[in-house]
Amino acid sequence: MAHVRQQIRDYVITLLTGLSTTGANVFSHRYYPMSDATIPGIIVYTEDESQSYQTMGQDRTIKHELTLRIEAFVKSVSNYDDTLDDISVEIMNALSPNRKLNGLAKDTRISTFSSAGEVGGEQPAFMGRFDIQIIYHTKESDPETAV
Amino acid sequence: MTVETELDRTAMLADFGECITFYPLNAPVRTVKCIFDNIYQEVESGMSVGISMQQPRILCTSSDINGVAEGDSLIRGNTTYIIRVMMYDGIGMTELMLEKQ
Repeated sequence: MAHVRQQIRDYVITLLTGLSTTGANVFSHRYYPMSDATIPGIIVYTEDESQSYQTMGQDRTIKHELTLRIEAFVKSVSNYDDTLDDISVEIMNALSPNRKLNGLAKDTRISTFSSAGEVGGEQPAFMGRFDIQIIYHTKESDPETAV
Repeated sequence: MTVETELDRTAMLADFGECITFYPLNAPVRTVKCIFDNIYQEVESGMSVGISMQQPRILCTSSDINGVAEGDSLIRGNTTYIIRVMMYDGIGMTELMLEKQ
């Protein structure tokens, strides 16, 4: 078993692997630059998490509010914004029927989307970032099991 | 005031340059001696990581590309490039920022 946060990250990666546009180019916590071999592609990682105690007693229930980030990368001489929106559709179609993430989460919400373009290299690059709010519960004695 | 002369520029291009054919929309097609460069560049993406890219550029004399404009194409080997930015140095040379097609 692993921390529920890791299980959530792994499950989202599973959901996003094999999308029409990005295919197998889905990465967790990448540290090296994206390249022709990995674009169009997606990076999935978890960011901040706040926790609050929902019960009193010996083994309290913790409510976790996790921010999971999905970054999409496109590089092309034309239609890069359309391709990014295609990826957005595919991500939302993959996540929306699975908002409880196979029982790991209470809820999953896309909270923000932002995009940016860059023209420093041989072709324009276009990037989009989703911030996903995920709520999940664990017992404080067992962070590896969602409750 | 420039340090180098037109002769210096021509000699530099003769030694280090290669012939590249330009296809301007509103000027005659021509083959020009240029220095082609294609260095590695990690482009900042604003995301968690950057993007590895090449940065194709050409250096030539401004007089050789008279009438060439941004948006025109050129072919080097089997690769077509579009000229995206023309950077005149004001003293006879121009660097072209290229987009690989």
